This record gives sequence, structure tokens and C-alpha cells, in this order.
Amino acid sequence: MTRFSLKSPFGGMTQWLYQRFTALFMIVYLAIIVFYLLFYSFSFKSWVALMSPLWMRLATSIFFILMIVHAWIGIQHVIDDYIKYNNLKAFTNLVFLFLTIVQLIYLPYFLMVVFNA
Amino acid sequence: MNKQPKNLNLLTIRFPIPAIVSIMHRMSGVVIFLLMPFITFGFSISLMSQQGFNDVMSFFDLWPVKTLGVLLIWGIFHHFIAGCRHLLLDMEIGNDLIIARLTSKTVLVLSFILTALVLLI
Repeated sequence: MTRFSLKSPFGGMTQWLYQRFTALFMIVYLAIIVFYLLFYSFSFKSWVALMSPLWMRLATSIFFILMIVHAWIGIQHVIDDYIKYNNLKAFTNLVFLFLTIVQLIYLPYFLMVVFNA
Repeated sequence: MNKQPKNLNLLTIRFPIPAIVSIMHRMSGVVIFLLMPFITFGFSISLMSQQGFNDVMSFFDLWPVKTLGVLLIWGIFHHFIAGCRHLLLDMEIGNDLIIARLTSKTVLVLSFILTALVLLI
């Protein structure tokens, strides 16, 4: 009999849960953005007005962080499934890890510090 | 040892529709992941100034960018809707074969229609 454990922060069961809960947040966020863009004309002014409030900056930062976590878990499984050679696997992992970490730092920094409207 | 005939020629295997939706969910995920640096960069440029916003918009007028952009939007819609279906399946909604086939067809049609709508607007 298999017993699932949530104790390991990077175990399969926890990854499975992360994937679902990040997805839930992204669904709500994206639905709101799409509805906003449907009803307001899309211009620089309305785009900045949408993204300017503090709560929106926070929500967008959280969205991007969760998206990167979601994408990282997903891409790990894809790499595991299709790349057979361990060296190549380690190399792709390293490149993708670099890509994700840069974005993980850059996006909240941009939204919270650089972006002032 | 194993005398069973193997057939792993993908071109001769006919996939059921839920399998196609599933593999497309995975493929769209990879496409979104690979294009993510462009999304984040374009996102920040578009918020920096009116000039940056215009630059990003006119960048999409180039046909290779436009093609990739349409592919990306389709990928996002597909990933989004197929993901919602997946969450419903996790809650044991729509697990029956007939309903599962119906919802996977719905995913394909809906993502196509939404992409077309975005293109038209």
C-alpha cells in the first residue's frame, strides 16, 4: 500500500499540489485581466492604469512567481520524460534554471521598484 | 526474451482525442515556457513608456513575430482550458469516457474559436 506524504517540500505529491494551486490562482488572475481587456479599449494609458495600483502590482508579481514555479515543475517532468542522456539533462536543467531565476528576480523587482506611473 | 511485436511508429498509432488534448497541453506548456523570457521582457517594456508600448505593438506587425504570437496565444488558450478540464478531472468531474471525449473536443474547439476572436478584434 502506498501512503502519500506531504512532508517532503519537493516530493511528487507536493509538486502535484503546487501545480494545482498555482493553476487556480492563475486562472482567476487571467480571467480578470481578459475581462478587463474585453471591456476597456487597449491603450498605453488604460494598460498602465490597470497595472498601477499596489494590489495589482502585488497580484501581478504573485502571478508571475507562481507562473514560473508552475512552468519549472512542468518543464522538469518534460525533461525527465524525453531527455535520456544525463549530461544533456543536467545541461538543459541548468540553462532553464538560469532562465527562470533571472525572471523570478526581475519581474517582482520591475513591478515593485522600477515601474512608477 | 520478449517476443511480443512492438509498434512504436507514432505515424501508425491513432490517438484518442483526450490523448491529443493531453499531449497538446504538454506541448503548449513547453512553448509558453520557451517564450516566457519574451513575454516578461515585452510586458515590462510595454509598461515603461508610451514609446515602449508602441514599440511592442509594432513589433507584432512583423509577420514572423505575428505568427509566433498567434501560436503563443493559441497555446495559452489551449493550456488554460485544458488545464481547467484537468482540474475538473482531478475533482472526479467528467471522468466517464463519453464525457471525457466530449470535453476534450470542447477544449479543441473553444481554444480555436477564442484564438480566432483575438485575431479578429
